[in-house]
Amino acid sequence: MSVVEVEKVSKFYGPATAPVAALDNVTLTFGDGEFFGLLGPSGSGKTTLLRSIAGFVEPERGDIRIDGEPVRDKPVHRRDIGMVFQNYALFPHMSVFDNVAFGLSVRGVPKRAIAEQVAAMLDLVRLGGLQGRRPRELSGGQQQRVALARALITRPRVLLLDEPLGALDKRLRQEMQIELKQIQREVGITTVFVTHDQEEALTLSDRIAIFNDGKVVQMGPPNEVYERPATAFAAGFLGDANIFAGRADGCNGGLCRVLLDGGAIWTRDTLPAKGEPVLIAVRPEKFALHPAGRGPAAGDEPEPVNRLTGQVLQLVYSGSSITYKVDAGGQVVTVFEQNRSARPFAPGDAVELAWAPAHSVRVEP
Amino acid sequence: MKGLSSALARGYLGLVLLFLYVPIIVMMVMAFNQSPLYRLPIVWDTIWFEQLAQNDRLLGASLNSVLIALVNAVIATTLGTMAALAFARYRFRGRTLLQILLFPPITIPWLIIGTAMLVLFFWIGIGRGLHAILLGHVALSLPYVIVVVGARLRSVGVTLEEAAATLGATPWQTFWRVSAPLMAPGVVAAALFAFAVSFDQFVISYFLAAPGVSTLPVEIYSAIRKGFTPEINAISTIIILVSMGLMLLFARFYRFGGEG
Amino acid sequence: MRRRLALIGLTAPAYLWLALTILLPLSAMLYFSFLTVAPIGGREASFTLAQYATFFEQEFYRFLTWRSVMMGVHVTLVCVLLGYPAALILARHLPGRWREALFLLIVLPFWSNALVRIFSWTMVLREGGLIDRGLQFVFPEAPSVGILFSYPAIIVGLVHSYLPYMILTCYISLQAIDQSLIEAARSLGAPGFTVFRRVVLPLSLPGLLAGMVLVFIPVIGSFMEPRILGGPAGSMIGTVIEDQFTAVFNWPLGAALSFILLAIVLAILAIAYPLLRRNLQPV
Repeated sequence: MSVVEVEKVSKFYGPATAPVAALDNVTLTFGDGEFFGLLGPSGSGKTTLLRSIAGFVEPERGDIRIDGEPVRDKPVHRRDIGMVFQNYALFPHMSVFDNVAFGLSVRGVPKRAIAEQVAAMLDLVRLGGLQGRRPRELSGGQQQRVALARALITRPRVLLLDEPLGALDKRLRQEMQIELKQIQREVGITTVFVTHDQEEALTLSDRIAIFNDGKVVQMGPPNEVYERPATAFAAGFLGDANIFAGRADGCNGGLCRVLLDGGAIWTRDTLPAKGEPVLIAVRPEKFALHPAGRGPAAGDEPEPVNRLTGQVLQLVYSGSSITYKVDAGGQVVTVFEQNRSARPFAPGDAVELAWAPAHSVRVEP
Repeated sequence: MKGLSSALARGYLGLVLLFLYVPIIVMMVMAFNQSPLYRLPIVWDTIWFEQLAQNDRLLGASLNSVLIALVNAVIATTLGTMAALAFARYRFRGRTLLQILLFPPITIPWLIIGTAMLVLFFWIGIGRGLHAILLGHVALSLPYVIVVVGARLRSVGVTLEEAAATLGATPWQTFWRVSAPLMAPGVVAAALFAFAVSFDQFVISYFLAAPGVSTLPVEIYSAIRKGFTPEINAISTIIILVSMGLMLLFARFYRFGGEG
Repeated sequence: MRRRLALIGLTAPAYLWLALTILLPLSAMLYFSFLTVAPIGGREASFTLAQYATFFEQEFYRFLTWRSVMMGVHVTLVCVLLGYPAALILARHLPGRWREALFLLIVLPFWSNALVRIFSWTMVLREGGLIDRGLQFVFPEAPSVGILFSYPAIIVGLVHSYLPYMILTCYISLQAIDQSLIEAARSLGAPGFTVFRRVVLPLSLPGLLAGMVLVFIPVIGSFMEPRILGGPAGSMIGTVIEDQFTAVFNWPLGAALSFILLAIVLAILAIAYPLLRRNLQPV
């Protein structure tokens, strides 16, 4: 059951003669209780879409419906939304209590009921006892929670989060991600959040939509979007990817071959006609790195293994993992390995890359 | 070397301050001096202030000045705040033009504005007098009010109002519960400024004053031109202390106002 | 549509007021400047260029205008020479608490009554005034140096009036210069004066320019200061215009002279505007 429906929404900026599309024919639905991530680079339209749902931006084309009802002419304050802003937007001249109570008090809820609900909400976000403080006396993480409590207390139909964790440092951000997800689960509210941090999107979302240039490039559950990116952009934006450019060379029993300049790659995806250009994406962690000549033998695996030889150019040691840059036939391939062996490879070492055909993903340019 | 240049720098500032304040201090001292003619020694006496209390003309003009300044503050602050809100919250064509139109009252010499007002008011029958002076003072105060309130609005920002809307507050509720309290220090500062501008205004008042009915600066001017009476020292001292006091209040509100 | 109404409702009152009190009067005065007499009290007036012609024909008015412009130049120059260094010291060489307090102290007189401040100078400058007395205290035989009722006295008074404002505008733009720019210049090897010459001075130029324009313009139109401090030696175009309206009652001539003065002012603004635009803060 969809709570929010976005249908063919477009928003243009700039002069009439040369309009720029901030949103280009976007269609999405957000289901009940879903935690939906809008991911993309700056200017990709994700924030514009969020603000369109909120009512701060009026799209030129298309419809937005909340619970089946079009919101086109509804002003912001009559849409049943809750919103958390990037810098929290806590009212500086009010206490924490008054901030959280605000949504209830503008609806005329009686004082006693307000007091009860505020207390309950502050407990939910684990800020009980800070009611009398002013926003400027709180830490970043505490302010964030007040903003969340304030938005949730009116039980809106949908919760909108605009880069909610952007202002926090890394450790705090990771803690807050877990808490945010917990609270959302407990309350069960449909949540749409905007982020440019792909790790955050992967961690929090039930489904993700990747935005670029005002369009939705790909949408789906995180693991699906991650394992099977649809385009080169999606492959490169959500995680890292190595893109191999080659030509289709026919299929044989579920395995298809792509010819490269210095070899061939096997994939399980369908290919275009023979000779047509094809792009194959392989994620850095899908490779197995062996010293040259000591890779899996031809008969070891039940199916052909993709194999490339190359030379280590450089490596980045990150403690628990190592990232290698390998020169394989002129192309620099990024390889991501867990730090399992006692002796990592060094620059100049001759190595062999091996990976399964299932991990060769055909992507659109 | 650094110590020397630092001392020189401070010394220079000290000289500048001296230059700025010595005449004022002299005047204030003389206001309390018994002798009107600078004969030393200086004898403390409040005789000129007492004489001032008897000077109906000057007292009447003082009352006019305060009255006009108060009304001016109310009108200019109201109109100016409304305009500042429009500039801060809306983007519209012609906005730049309107902003440019605020500059004439500040940049055109007041002599020209004053005489032009005199010409128009006489011609269309408004005439001279306190009402005319008020018309002029509001026009002069408006740009300052708009700039001061505008600065405050800009520093507060629009996000808080957006947040209030998402929480279900109608525009009216948003204004009263969020925008107004946050705007308040800026508005108060602007009102103080408008009061001071009007209270100290000379040129416009000079041309628009009717015979027998004028403001304090105008009266002081004619007293100076006619000849010297020591009561001028007394009233001038009072005025300067009032003006400076107002400005100190303004600074406090403008800089420290609000928690945002 | 509602937005439009809200906009008009918010801005109309202020701008109508401004139209009535600034725009209309200026238009009326422009009209008057082309008349033979003021059409008030039932008098018949006819169109003429004679008022403007008077300015160009009579040496007297051109001389006074020139004198007023020179007065503006002198006052502005002195304000720059005295004010910019003061602003520089205040903005960049003083620790925080001192800076704010001193800044307030310096700017405070500007916002007090200009008339009273000019009057206070008469106390100091006149014969028997402070300077005289002070000098005689040290050198009992010295002659009187009362310079009241002279051109230098006018300059002193005007500089005193506008110096705080010049310091204010220079200070604002000097203070806005990011400290890290100066540190970057130093790290690149620039000695103190070079840093000033190539980083601080250019970046503070808009503020300095704004200050100069906003001092120069009121000064050339001033009449109160020249009258009080200059006495008979204080004739400027401002005092002449004032006379037309308060003593001689030749309003058309006063109007014409005003507009010539306004033309000069607008010319200066037109030249300075492109340079100032970078420094103008949006409302």
